[in-house]
Amino acid sequence: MIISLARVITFGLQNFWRNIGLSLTTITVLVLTLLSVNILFVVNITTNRAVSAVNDQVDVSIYFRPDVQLDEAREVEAFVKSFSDVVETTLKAPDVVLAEFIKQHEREPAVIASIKELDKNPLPAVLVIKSGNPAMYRTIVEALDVPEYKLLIESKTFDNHSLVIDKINVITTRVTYLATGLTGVFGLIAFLIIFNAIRVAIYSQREEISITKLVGASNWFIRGPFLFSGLLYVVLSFGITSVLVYFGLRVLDPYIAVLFDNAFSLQQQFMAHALKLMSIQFGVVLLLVAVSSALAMRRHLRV
Amino acid sequence: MIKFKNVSKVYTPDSVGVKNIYLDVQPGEFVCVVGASGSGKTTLAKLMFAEERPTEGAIHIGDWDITHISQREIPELRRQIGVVFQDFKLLPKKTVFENVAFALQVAGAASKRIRKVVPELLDVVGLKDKGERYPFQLSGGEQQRVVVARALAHQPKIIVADEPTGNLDALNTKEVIDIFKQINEFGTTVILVTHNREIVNSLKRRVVTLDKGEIINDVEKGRYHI
Ligand SMILES: Nc1ncnc2c1ncn2[C@@H]1O[C@H](COP(=O)(O)OP(=O)(O)OP(=O)(O)O)[C@@H](O)[C@H]1O
Ligand SMILES: [Mg+2]
Repeated sequence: MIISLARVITFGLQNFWRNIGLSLTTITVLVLTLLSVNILFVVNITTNRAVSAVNDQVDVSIYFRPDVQLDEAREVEAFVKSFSDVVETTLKAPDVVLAEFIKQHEREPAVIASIKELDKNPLPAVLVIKSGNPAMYRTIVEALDVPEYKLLIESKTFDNHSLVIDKINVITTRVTYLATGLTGVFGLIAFLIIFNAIRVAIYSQREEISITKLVGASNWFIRGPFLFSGLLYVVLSFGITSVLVYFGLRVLDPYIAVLFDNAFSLQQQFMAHALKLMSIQFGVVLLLVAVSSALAMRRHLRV
Repeated sequence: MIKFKNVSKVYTPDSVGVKNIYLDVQPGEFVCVVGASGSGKTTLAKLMFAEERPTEGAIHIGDWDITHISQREIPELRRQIGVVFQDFKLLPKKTVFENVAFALQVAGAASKRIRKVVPELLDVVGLKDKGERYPFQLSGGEQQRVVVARALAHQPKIIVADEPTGNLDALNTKEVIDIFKQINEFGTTVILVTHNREIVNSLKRRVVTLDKGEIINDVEKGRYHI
């Protein structure tokens, strides 16, 4: 058994080496497929990051009327919190708002002086709402438009952001559609090319296979070398792609980082999800090779 | 050794390979199978090593009934029957030595045995010093002798050769036929399908003549006549 296994591996390697042109073509196609999968990862990671970066900057501020008590404001806060997707609410009492205002205008003595001239704090309480889903802001703001709350609220800053939020919504859905479509197209192209490559491989070895059968080889001895060279395709294309992606990201990283103000590294993102990304890729190429060679063998290796 | 009992092979209703074949070959016999093109010679040969299954009748090899042989058992049968075909079926990317060794390797033979047996086989066919060559570096006759050496690798009880000299000139033909005679003298049963009148007449062995799929003549020490 061990000697047979050794021979299957030897013949698999011989197949690979003596048909080196075909082997390299197949591996190139597999590498291209994997690279396109990686491009999808990059697109996904960057758009996600971009969307959340804008999301982070977007919030809605509710300015209460000056005479509103903090308790009443808390009631509104509790109401807003009851919406799903609301990540965070911050209720700032008038004196906190004043302190922030003074801090903000530290270098403008005229402003500070005029504020201090007033014997009463002119600034109202403010409720800042952050949502994980920008589409929610409109719902929340509209829900606050009931008479009960309208009396308490002086103004909302939502109107200033609504355009941006709508745009983000549109872009997010479009990028998602595009990425999904691309995945499908790349996958299909890869499948067709690889199926063809393996069909050609089997076709070019038809003679060899019939000879192998005639001299009394068992079925597994005929399939074995194919399975082994298939495995070799998987391992080599996977290895080559990993190296290419590693160096590709190192080159790409400085350009991507410029787009985001905080330190954002694609490489780190990849490393953080390395296990997941790698098993997805290994699974993709293994599935492609297994399915296409199984189909091709069924048609041409009538054993 | 080989027994056909009322065997018919019908490919499609209007394409009959052989029909109503009764054939009994004794161990150590040398049988020539002759007949016009399309008379069913190749079909008869393929039935012997289960490349085709009979539509009717029964086939025995030794005491093995191979009429309904399963796919899993075929490798075992192929190791008992050496097959030689008209078109040189050598693996082009393996050397002469590797081609012969291949038949032993697929059967799981030990490397030590292969290193011992292959040179002996190449010696039988007179190619001892050409083991490192590739098929394209050999003449047609030499290539066919390598095929014969490979067919002998399992020391088969039976050799089935379908027009083994079809592509060869007179000299190479004689060399290949001489090897078959030699093998036969050591006790191997030989089934030789041929078109070649001179071979049949000079061999003076049993001749089975096929016509339209049927045996029309079967004589000891026969001559070629159609
Ligand atoms: N795979 C097949 N499918 C259908 N018909 C076939 C098939 N193989 C052979 N035949 C038919 O069976 C008959 C016998 O063919 P076979 O190949 O046995 O003849 P042959 O005597 O070997 O001829 P040749 O001398 O030309 O090699 C022919 O009529 C042929 O057309
Ligand atoms: Mg024929």
